[in-house]
Amino acid sequence: MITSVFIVLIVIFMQSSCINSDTECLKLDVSITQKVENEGFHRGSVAIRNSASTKRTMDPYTGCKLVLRLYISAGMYVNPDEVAELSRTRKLLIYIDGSIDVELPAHEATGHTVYVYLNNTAIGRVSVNLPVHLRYQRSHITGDLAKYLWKSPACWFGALTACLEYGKGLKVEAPCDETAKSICIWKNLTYQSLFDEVELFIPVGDLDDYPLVSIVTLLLGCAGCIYILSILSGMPL
Amino acid sequence: MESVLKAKQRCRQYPIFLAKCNKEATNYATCVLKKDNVSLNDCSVAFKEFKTCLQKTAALAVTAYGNCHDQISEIKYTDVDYKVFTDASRYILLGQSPYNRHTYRYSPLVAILLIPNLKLHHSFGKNSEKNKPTKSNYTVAKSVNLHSKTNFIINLSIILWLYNPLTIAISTRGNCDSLAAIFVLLTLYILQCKHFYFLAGLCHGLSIHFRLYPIIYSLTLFMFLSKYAFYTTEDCKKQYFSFKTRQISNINQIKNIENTIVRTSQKDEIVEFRQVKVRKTIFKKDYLMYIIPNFNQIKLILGCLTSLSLLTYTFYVLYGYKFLYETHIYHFIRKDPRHNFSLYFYLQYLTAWVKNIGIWQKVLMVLPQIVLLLVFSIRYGLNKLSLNFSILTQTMVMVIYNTVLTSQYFVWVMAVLPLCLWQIKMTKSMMVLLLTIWFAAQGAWLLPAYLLEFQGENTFLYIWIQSVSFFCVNIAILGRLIMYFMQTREKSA
Repeated sequence: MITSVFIVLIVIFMQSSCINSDTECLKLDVSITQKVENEGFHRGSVAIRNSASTKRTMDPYTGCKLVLRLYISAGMYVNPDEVAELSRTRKLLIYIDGSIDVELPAHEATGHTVYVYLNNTAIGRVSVNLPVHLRYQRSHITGDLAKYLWKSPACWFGALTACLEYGKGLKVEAPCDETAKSICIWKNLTYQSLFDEVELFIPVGDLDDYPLVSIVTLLLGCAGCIYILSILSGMPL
Repeated sequence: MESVLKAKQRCRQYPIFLAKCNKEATNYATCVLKKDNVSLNDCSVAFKEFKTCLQKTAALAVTAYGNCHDQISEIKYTDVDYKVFTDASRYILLGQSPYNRHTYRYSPLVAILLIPNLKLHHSFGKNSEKNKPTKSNYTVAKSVNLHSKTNFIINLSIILWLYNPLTIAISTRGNCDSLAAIFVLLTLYILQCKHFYFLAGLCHGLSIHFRLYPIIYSLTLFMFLSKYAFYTTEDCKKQYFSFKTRQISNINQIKNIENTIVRTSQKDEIVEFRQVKVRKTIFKKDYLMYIIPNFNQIKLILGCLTSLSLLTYTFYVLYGYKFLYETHIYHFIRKDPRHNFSLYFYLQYLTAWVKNIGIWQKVLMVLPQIVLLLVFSIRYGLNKLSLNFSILTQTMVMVIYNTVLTSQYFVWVMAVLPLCLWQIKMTKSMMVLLLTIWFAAQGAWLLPAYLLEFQGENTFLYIWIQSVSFFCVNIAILGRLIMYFMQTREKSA
């Protein structure tokens, strides 16, 4: 089972005064909302809001860049093909850090980091649809549903020296853009979280079914073979 | 939204496409109107032109629909693999290995053939795939025509392949299994109609290279060319009698085959089956004699080995071990625990990462399939009239018992079924009943699968139950096909 889950990241309102190197960076007040529409496998949303009253918007050439960093742990993955399609159509600019094998189950897979670049838009309210997929989980006794905890996204801004001068915050290195040809310094942005911790529930096979399933499956396979052979033996050549 | 609007505009072009056939339609109508008493073959040229135009239009329309659907709907019409093929073609254009594309597990030929996807139009492959059935109808017609003289049966066989919604849908989604099927059909055609055994071997090797599954037909094709293979009652009797008299003196045993042959040398007619009272057996030691190859069989083997080894060596030199692994080895060791139609999916999933699972489980999963494939290969392979049916039954066994079973595998069956239609003496009501049950079983499987896939409900056990019922239905259908194959039972029996 590859379950399609779309996570909708919505930047509700983002106003940045960090326009260019001549401008003093003003207060950035960002809030993020993330919600899961359907239990387990469907859409969630993240919203980012800046409460400053400035009307200025971001610009890829003169202003600061903003990036959402999502860590996707082993139970889930972002399909590189879909990401490439989104990048190709310029719907989203995404870089994936880490290798992804879309066929592996959760316990054999590794996590990866997704960077969603929001720098080329005039950000007032941005909605980001990021398709992700849940992986199969190892079967358990009692089965039922496994829980997948999704960590909150990190919001970084910067990539320009002027922006980095603003406020306090941990400086980190990350790709400058979706091409990842160069590394930039980003500053972690503290945002107001308007969502609870996201929990997704994934169906898991029940090992208690094993005796029944194995006996019936294997016997039925053999019975089917015997049935066909019995028909054949009763038929002319 | 802009793309959706564009797609809708394209959808509105359908009537314009259809209107392009107005000239052909007018010609045909004029021709018919000129005749006072229209007979069957009147205006056949005009009709063919009109029909060809409609076919082309329909082909374009289905492709256009697929493109529209992809742009409008979140659930894509185009197969995921089609994008994989196209991406692999892109790597080839860049001078790289197509296996740089993750999950590309096909022959490099697929990627090479789909390069026009990037150079001409992204739907080139779909049109090409869609045309495969059109091209293969010739081989179907010829193969059926070899045995059956009835135009109705030939037409029905072609229609079953050409206008089968399942094959149309799967082909136009960009699946490459139609291409694999045409290689299989071509092998059968060359073997049965042209009798070029080396060429048939070459084609068989190509089909194995292209898609691994035709390897199961090898023994059947080999048996077909055996000197013990027979056409008629007389042939069989003579061969079996001379063979048995050399081996044993118990003549009574040949009563086994006294009523088994369906055609005579002189007349093309089906001989009614009568009850045979003596004990019947499937496994015979005598079959061991059949594996000593004759000249024709050697030609077949050499042809197969030539094309297979040449292609394998060439692509191994070009793309290395990854080609071997992805194209061939992977299919032997594949473990896919994700839900599918297979009887074995849930068992595989439950035990996929559990240690200490006994070898007996693997043996019991594989053994029934191997036994049936061997039996069908020998049993039907030796009858020159049932080669196609042998291929059909083996394909069905392969599909039914496969540890991974998805809808695209049904194309393998659909490709061969038309070849055997003339030999399956089944009533229409029985056909309808079996088809209904088959679709119902699929539908019943799809419901819990949907709940699992899209609603996140734990329905594994229900999916497994439906897989069990689907397996039973498939086995029942296979059993019925065997029962109704080329013989009639006495009503009193």
